[in-house]
Amino acid sequence: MNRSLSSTCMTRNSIIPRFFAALAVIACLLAMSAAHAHGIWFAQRATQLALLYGIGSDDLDSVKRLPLVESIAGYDADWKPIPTKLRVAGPLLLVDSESQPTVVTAVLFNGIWSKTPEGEWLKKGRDEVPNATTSEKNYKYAVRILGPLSAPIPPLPGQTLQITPVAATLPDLMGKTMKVRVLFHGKPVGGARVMWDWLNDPDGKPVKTAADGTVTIKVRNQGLNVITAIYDGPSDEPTKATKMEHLATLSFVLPHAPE
Amino acid sequence: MKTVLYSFVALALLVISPFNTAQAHGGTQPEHGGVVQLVGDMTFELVARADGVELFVEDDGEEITSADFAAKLTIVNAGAKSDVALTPAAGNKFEAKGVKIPSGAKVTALLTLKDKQSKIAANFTIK
Repeated sequence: MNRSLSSTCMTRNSIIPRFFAALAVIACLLAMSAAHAHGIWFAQRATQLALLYGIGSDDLDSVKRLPLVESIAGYDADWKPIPTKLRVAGPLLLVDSESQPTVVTAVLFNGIWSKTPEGEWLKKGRDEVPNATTSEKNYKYAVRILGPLSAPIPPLPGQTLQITPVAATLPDLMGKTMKVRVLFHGKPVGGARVMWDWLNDPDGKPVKTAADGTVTIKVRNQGLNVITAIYDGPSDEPTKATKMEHLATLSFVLPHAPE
Repeated sequence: MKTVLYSFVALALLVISPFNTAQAHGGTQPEHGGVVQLVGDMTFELVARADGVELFVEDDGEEITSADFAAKLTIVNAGAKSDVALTPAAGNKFEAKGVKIPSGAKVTALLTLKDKQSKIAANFTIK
């Protein structure tokens, strides 16, 4: 009896570590996949606007990625450019504009990545990883609404994938619905995967845009909101990448009640 | 029983009061007859006078020394946009004499901080 119990325990003991090992492998694969899908967005840091890189609560090293930033731009309410640049301030990339912009944008090229059959992502093209299961060329885009809009946001220069609120007025309270349109090369695109809260719900289930590029979401936060859209487009370097992954964020703040 | 109740109320007040104190970043009432905007813990008061415009700034309830900062206004009125440099004046005041802000204009005050790089903006609509 004891032997039998002992045998059962041994069997369980051998199964449980395997189970957790399998879980760990899956978690690692998911983590690698999530790490691959990093984005850029704008957020306030110590009263200043910063360009951030990461996902969820992972606010990663943006300064070392400054060479990857292809453009930073600011626009007034009439969509006229305002001279805007990034400056390094300690561990942050801060946005420096000559005047207060209504909207700020950025583009970051995150290189070409290939996934091995083992699930590992390497920063190489498929020409260098012959057994790659997939190879992607990654672009990150970010739009931040700072000032009140006087009209819907038009397609902005450099924003190959762009999320735009359909209305010119943003909701004032969290929980309210908001219709956004995702543009690809300035035109509405269906099938883009939209996530309502890139920072606090990065593993949430995406909602796909309709054929007219629109999707209606609830505004998640009475504070910073970072909405994300991901769209896979054709590769412009097929020898190195099988597709181009475009990841765009739209960030804005719903102000809190007066103190 | 009353003693227990009073103790509970006193404890509750003790717990709540630090949060109230922490939230009181700056005044929201105009002190110079202007329009007030609170941006984080910075208070901006814009005063449009017949002979010019004034801007008063407080940081977390304390008056800044305007000479240590720089400020400008961007005025948008009926589609026309103009920038106005403000001159530091006494205390926490900036001013631009001879500038008139029309009713209905949208004004952005941009304050450059002591590091000469960081900026904080406040948006106003003039009635």
